Amino acid sequence: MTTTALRTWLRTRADADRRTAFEAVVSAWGPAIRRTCRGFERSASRQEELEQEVLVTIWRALPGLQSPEAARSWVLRIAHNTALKHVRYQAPRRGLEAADPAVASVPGEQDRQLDRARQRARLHAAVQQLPPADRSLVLLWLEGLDHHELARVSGLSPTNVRTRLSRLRARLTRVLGVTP
Amino acid sequence: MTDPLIDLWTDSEEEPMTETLDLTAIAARADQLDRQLTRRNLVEVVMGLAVSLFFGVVGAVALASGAVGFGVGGLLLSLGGAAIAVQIRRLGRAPEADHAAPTRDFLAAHRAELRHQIDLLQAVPRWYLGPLVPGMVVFAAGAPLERFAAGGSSLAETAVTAGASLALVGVVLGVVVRLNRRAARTLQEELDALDAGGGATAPE
Repeated sequence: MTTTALRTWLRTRADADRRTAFEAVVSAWGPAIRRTCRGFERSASRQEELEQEVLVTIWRALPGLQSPEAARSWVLRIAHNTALKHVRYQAPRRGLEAADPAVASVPGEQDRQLDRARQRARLHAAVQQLPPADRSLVLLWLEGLDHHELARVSGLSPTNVRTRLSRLRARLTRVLGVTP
Repeated sequence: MTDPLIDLWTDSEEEPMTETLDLTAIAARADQLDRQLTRRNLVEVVMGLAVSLFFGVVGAVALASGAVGFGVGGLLLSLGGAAIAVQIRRLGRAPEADHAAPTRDFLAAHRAELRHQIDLLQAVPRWYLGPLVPGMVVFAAGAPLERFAAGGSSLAETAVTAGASLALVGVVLGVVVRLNRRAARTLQEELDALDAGGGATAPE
């Protein structure tokens, strides 16, 4: 549906089709945009501000979209570039904070959902401690991009992506105590 | 098999953005931003030319009525305003970084954008204030000197009046320079922080 809407807009360039294409993009990749914004910004108001900025940028950039098939990485590139410009740069930390053992413990099967939510909150916290560039790489990987897609979005070589990601993933896994 | 961290990250229930956000308002805001950007450069040039025209008229009227100091000062300020309008057109702005470009290229363009702004702010005394200084000096000191030449004031009175006027001009220029330097420092801090945190663009 998204591809059809984008293809129609690219063909007609009509205002109504642009609006439909925009809605389709937001509908398809809105959750990824939202997760990206949460990964970059800590406070709810900054996350909301960033979300709006990403959507404004997507709307403005729509005329430059080349192919509907590449829309996903196009959206993520815009989201990450906007976030990297938006985020207030802080000195990179040397290491991730250790996990809180009280929060890390798994209470039981019926509390699985609650435990997942806690784990996710800790993953958020761990990601947010990374320097912005590393954060961007990890967030793209968490969205399920493979090394080649990651290389296309970030502009790094696949080898560099693989090396950095392997290091960052190991750190996150260690901090969260997740078994790979 | 999917990585457990990816599962953990993506399995959260998200409210659809299409329900929580007013997309029409967002599109309208984006269009408004585009119009503002188009208008901004035009407004700057028109303002420069308006200032130039205003002081040109003031200078011509003053000269016609025999007030040489105000007249020459006004004409010099008029030329200064025109020079600033030309400089704004010439120096322009670095092109906005393409948000859809690969991150490495985007950050490089963003850095260039920041560098350009910093250079412009640091060079404000040269390209923005410089053309106005002769007009401001003549405007401030012209009238007291004319009065002195016509025998309407003593040397001491002239020195005090002209000195005070020039000091006021100096203070105004100094404040403008300080404000622009402060803005340049803020941008420089942003650029330094970007370099420190933007490891994705470090040489491979």
